[in-house]
Amino acid sequence: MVEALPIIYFTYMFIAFYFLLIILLVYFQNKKTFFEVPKKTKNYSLSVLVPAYNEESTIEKTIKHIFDSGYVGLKEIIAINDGSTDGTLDILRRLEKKHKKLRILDKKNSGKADSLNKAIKLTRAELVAVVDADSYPAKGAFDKLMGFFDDPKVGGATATALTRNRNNLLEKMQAIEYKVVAFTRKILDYLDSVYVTPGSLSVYRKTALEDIGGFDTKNITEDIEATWHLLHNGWDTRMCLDSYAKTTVPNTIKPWYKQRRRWALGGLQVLSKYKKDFINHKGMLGYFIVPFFGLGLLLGLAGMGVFTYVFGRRFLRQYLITKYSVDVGVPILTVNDFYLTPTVINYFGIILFFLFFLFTILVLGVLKDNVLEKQSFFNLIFYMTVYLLVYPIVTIASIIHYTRGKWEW
Amino acid sequence: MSKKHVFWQALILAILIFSSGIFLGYLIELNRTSKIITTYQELEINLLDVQVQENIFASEDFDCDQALIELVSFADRVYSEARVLDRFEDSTRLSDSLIFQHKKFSLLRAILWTNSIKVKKQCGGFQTIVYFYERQPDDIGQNAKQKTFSRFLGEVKEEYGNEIILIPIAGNLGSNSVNLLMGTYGVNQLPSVLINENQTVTSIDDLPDIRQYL
Repeated sequence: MVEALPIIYFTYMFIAFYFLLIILLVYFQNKKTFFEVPKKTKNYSLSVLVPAYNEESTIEKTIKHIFDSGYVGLKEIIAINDGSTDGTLDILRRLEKKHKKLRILDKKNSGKADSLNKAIKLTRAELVAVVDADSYPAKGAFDKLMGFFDDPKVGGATATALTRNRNNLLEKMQAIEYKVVAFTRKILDYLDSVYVTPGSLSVYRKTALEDIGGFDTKNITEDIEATWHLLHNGWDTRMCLDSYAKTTVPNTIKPWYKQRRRWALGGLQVLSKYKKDFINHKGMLGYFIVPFFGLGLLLGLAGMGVFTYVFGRRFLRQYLITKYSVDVGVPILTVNDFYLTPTVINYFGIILFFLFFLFTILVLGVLKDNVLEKQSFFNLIFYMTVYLLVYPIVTIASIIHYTRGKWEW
Repeated sequence: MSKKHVFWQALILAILIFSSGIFLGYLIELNRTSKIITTYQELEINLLDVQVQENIFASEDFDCDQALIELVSFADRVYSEARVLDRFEDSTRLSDSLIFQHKKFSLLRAILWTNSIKVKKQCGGFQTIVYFYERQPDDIGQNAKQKTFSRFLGEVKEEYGNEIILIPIAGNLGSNSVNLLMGTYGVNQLPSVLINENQTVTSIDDLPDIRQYL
């Protein structure tokens, strides 16, 4: 293992560096069009689906934001009450009287995917949008996505998801994370590889949704699955950075952890379902998305494994040295312990860390002029050194859950 | 521009930059090795000096005090250089040239030891502690044990100053002469501490006994 460790380190760093270079090259080659909004030639008729389960605190604002977004082709909003046990339905009933275009689909609880599928059958528009009941689309958010659908190959388009609540540290971490994700997703747009059209705000061509048979009720991240399914069936997916919706993010560890585990589990589900596309080289899904997703997972796990192994060994070694030193009465620490002679791997690691650090700064810098605000330096450091390190733990927990067949929400 | 070109462009760039980094890293390590080699060259000259002195002392009436001063100061230098060498070796990842230097250094230390035995027989006045260790052990327990041995012996050296000569020798480098010396003095496991060529300590618990043997 000790002999193999430098090879693992270098392989890990090379892959990470390669992905970083892809992102940077795509960005700098397409810098001028990064925030470009596709030209709208037509006001497609649009049905907006809002699946809701116990969303009494946000549903009203969500509906209001959809109306306020000002899309003239809006045909209807279908709010799906998925068996809520709180006041969600009452609020919707009240709003229904006020807004003619608001329809309510009240049903027993059966999950988000099933709710959406039932609503899709009721829609009469060319395009179907999905907006989570805790997301607030911005003004013009729908308009900015419409131009994509002039291309008949486009099956889905998504907007930037930003965090709505940014009060505590966890929320601030997610604010940075969402920006990095938005930036990266736009990069993937240039590579025809947008692999998720999240529920915060995404628009689909109704015929495309019919082509894939709607949302997969067996997958716990129906939005990722639907996107992979669209790509699998030959549809294109697009992303507009300038169109955005603000979404509510978890503000405590437990719901945050549950949400991330669900995403990771859903990722594993789609990876397992579409892995054959990699072997069959099916479009960008097979050429890039599946290996990108798989390697990302592998890198996280390998990183965690190496980290645990190296620090576990160091910890155990230090424990034994301390114990022995106490036993024989010599100092636990000596001046010699403070001499640091970094290895080449240390240098590489430090350089890679700074590259990713600079990349994050670049992302925040690129996005600040449009829809974002300044991040404090402390938040950034914490994000890079603590927040991101928790991810592999979530991944490992998800894999354990996955292998046990526990795919619950 | 075709979108797929970016994958090749990034790959070529990554290979170029990464291999430049590896090359640079190799140069850094090479630089460290050359520093070590320079140190060895100086030590070799000093050792030759000691050997010449020893020959002179063996054939003629010589000044034991002078011989002792030379031997102890040389041994101290060898000991401190050994620490630097270990640090550099621990941080070496891309080349294995230091292992040869380490082997050479172990042989030099073995010569130092045999010289010290001769001088001790004629003049007395000092004691020797020879520390046989395993170079870069994979086992954490062994590693921790050696670190503790090293610290303890460092303390003893500080305590006794010029009264003792501390000579660390790597015992797992396959040097015939080192193996022969180990066999001669009954050293059959690493780490082992040989005090005045007649007492051997091999366990952590027995380390404090070293003071009794001195």
